[in-house]
Amino acid sequence: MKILKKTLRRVLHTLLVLLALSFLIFSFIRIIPGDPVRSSMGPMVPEETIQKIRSELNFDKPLPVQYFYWIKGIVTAGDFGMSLFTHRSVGEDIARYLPRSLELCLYSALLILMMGVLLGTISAVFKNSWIDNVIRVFTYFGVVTPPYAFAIFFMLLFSYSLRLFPIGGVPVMPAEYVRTGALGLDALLAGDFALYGKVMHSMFLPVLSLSIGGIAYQTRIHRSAMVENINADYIAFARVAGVGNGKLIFKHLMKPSFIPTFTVYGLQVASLLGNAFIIEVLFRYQGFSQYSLSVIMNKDPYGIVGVTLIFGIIFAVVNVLIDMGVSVLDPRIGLRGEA
Amino acid sequence: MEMQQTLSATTNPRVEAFKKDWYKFSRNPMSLLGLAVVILVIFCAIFADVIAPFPEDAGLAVYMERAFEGPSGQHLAGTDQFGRDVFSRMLIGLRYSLGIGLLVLALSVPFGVILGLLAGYFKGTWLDILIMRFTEIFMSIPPLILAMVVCTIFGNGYLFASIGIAVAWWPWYTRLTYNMVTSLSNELFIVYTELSGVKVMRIILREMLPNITSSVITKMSLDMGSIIITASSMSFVGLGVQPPTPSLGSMVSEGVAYLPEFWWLTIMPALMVVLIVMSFNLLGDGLTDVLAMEEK
Amino acid sequence: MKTSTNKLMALIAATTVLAMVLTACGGAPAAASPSGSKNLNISCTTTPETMDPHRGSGENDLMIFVNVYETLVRPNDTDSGAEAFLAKDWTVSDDGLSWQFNLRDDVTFSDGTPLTAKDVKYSMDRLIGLGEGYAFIFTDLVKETSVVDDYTVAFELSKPFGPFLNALTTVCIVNSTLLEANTVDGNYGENGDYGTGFLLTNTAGSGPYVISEFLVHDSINLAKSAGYWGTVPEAAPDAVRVIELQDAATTKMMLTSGELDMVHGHQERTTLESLIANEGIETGDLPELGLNYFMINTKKAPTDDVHIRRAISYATNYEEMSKIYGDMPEAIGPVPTTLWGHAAGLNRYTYDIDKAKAEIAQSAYADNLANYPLEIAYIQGNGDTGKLAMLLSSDLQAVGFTITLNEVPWVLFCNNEAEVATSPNITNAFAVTNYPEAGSILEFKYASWTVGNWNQNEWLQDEKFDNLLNAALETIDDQERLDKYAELQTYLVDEVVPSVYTFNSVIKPIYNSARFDWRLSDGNPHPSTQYNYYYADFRMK
Repeated sequence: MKILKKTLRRVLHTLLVLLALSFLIFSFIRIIPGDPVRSSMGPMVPEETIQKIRSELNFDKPLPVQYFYWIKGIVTAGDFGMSLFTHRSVGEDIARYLPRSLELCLYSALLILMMGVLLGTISAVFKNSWIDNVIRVFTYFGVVTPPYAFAIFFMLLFSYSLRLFPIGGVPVMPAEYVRTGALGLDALLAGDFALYGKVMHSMFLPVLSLSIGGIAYQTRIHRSAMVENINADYIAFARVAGVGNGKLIFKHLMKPSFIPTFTVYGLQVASLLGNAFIIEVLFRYQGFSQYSLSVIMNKDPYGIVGVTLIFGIIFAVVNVLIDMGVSVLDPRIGLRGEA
Repeated sequence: MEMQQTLSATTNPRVEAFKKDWYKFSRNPMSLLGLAVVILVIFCAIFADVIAPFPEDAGLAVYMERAFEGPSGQHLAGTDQFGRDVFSRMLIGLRYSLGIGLLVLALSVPFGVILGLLAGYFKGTWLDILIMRFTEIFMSIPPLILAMVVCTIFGNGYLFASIGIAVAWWPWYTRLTYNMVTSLSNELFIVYTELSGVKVMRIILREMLPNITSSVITKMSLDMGSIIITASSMSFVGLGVQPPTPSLGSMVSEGVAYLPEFWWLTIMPALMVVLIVMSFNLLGDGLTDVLAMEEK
Repeated sequence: MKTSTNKLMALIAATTVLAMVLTACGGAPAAASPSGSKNLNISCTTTPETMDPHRGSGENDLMIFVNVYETLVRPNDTDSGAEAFLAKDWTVSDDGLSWQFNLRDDVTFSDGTPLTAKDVKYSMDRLIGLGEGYAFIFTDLVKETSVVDDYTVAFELSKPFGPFLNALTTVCIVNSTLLEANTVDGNYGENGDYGTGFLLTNTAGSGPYVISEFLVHDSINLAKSAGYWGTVPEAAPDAVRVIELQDAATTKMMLTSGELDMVHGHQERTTLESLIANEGIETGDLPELGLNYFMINTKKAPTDDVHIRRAISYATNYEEMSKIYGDMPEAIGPVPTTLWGHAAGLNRYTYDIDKAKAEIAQSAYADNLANYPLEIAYIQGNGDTGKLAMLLSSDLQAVGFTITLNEVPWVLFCNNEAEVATSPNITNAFAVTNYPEAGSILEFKYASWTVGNWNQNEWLQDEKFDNLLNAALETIDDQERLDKYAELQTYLVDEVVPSVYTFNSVIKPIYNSARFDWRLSDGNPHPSTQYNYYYADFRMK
């Protein structure tokens, strides 16, 4: 009950922050040098036509009025305004591209959690052995190498040399399959496992490139959390009490080590979508990050506000989830309500 | 520990503290290696013009007759599509990468720390709420995206790219300072000082700031790497240093078009990024260890 | 309870990763289009931003539109002159103001509705009403379009216009019945939204293909139109997928792995060379009705001095620039050599540093050149034009100029071009004619009424040029018009020197010859680039 109340308060508070954020970006957009409306049109378009589009997009109205219309559109119709870049509703664009990226991030998140915990545990259990050293060297490189460098490396290795994976793009989705927008999920929902295989095949390198940094960092955190706990008194006690090794590792070590792991993990997951953009560009995976990049680079006003808002929402949602997760893992920690 | 302190009681305590820290730091060979590489990198950046065999290749130089030559004795990292020496361009690019890192830190750290000090000291007041909510707004957008938005709105180029990243970076320093100050505030010596009627500003500057400096410096060292990665990701899409001036990120992204035949165009600058980031991280980790030991 | 959740999570995660690894390793790098399939996969460096034929313009848009929509007349495949298409024949009054077209009576749209004169009127009205795309050609020209009977339509012009037939090749005829039925309230008065909303996701044409899916800046899928009024050969592709792809590395990989059948658009020389080294991968020349050139600002110091502009023309390394794009033919004057109206025997500039220096010495800026830095701008992400700008900058610096080289995002570029002061001294661009005739490209690039747009960085505003141009455009007789075009070109090259013409644009599509035959492999390329991509002409193998 208390958790619910705190969560609710946090959500409300987050909404306010997002509202402030959108207003901030919105005000900035207005002072963008260059007229995005004109440059989005073909050559020699007369001023009246441009004026028409401007008024359609409420650019001719004062900022607060425009902002009010925008918020009203979102609340009443889920309408984020029209993108000058794609000439479609931003909401529609987001609905089209976001599920694809979320799927990419989901696989990446799972991979990070699994591999991070696995490697971290191995590293901690076999502390200072050769395997620990190998893993630690990997984590070092993983953390300091930019994701695009991994992507290029994997492309060279797996696509050019070994020809194991396609270098980019995703399989064509038959129109009747499209339900959620997430490629793999749609293939599964349609019961087309061959296509799902193809989707996974084309997603493998993007997921891997996106995850490596996270895996490395996660491994580090998990390792140090476990090492700290191994030295803790209660483990020594358990050992003396004759608790078996396997049980010791999994029951007494893993669980407490999950708390720092989980908190860091949350931040990692929240940042996945932001990190995905060069990966999506390099692998030609037309998702939300690539869309964000395009609207930002093309100074598409409603596009920019829309995507930043989505980034903010996702960040907030993940944070709330993490807090709830932590409080489930460790009842002693309440929800990080304020600050 | 106590032995050491009594032995050195006669000398300057600050020098002594530094000696002690250095001793701890120098015991980890990786930290030393990191420090050495950082010094080397900074040296290379400062004297890039002198070290680079073809410093003019960072400008408007075109030698079509020697385009796409592989690494050799003359061109250590090969030549690019205009026949320019990749190694020279990497060195000059290194200068800009480090420059952006320093500029971002110079912009975001003072701003972030001051806000954090204020919010922390006035915890619970409207100032605290205002600052921390404001901080949160900026924290909720991925730094790269925020920096790109700022850059496209206000303009492109070296300076704007740095400002863009700084806009995304300061909240983390506010958060760090805030957390440290709020925990410090409860410590006895601060309470005493406050009771003895010392001015607020003085407490903040004289008592609190020194106490958080080491953490901030450590974080700066670790952040240097992340900032360089962020900046190179931005120049990957054309935001930042303008061509023909090289930046490591734009060298990588331009080189991608020539993969796999002319691999040195991408691999070499990418390795350079890895090297710099790694050295700053090793240094930062070393500092963290020293700090962690001090706290214990 | 908690343990079981953890276990469940671990199980799910393990299965996912396992599944990913298995499918990833097990799946052979299968080609997306196994041979025998009649699906064609093409990549372009840019794809249209709109599928509305009255809002789009430019070659990339037309490449798609010609397959979906049809026009009264279309360019023939010898010299791009207008030939009958939806119109059987036509007459023009002696004063050149009234044009009357007799339509074929056997044409239907893809939904079965017959195509009649009212659709033609609706299309012209809609094009002008929307004001986008190619509307600028017709807005001040067409006074009225009227339906004479079901299969006769008449245009009343406000002034004689020689290239009217050629200009009509850009006007797509849309299904007025379908659009009117799908019109909602909008910006265009009694015409509501003019069906613009409907055409965001639907097609309303009479062509052999329909657009089945359209993702802006991503991909376009075309499918054979079931009810096409004409005949499409059996061998033509059943479906065509056009994807947007700029990255050279990906392009190489996808073409060699069979995921792509053809790559359209300018490719960097090294990409081209490494690709055609592969078995079955071929290329050829598709001359474009366009050229690459540096637009020089004639109203801003120091490029307001004709000697400086000549110096720049002499300091341009034409040969290396053409090599960057994989050996392009030399440009001779402002009109592409393959375009109707190109004048023979024009003077040319060659790469000659000494002559460049001599021209500078004659200029008003000879003594204080350093005080006038040259701003050279190129558009971000616009292929290899940055490299051309870089090459020019390097040579100009060598002859004594102070250079600022700027990479500018598109939006800012458009904005800067709105005023003389913010327009750069020099910028590189490709210009392609709007309709297949010299008058189009000359007007678009240099007429006084096109300044302030991104297509004119020259700010020419030259009265003599305007008068000559108007006189040429109002000439109905072809030979007379040709002579007037020639006079215009000589004037530009010899006296004004508003631009540096680097090379004629030739598209070198790279394609997998094992997959299909088309105009290029037949040795019969169409002079209007987009008609080479008339997919009904393709024969899949």
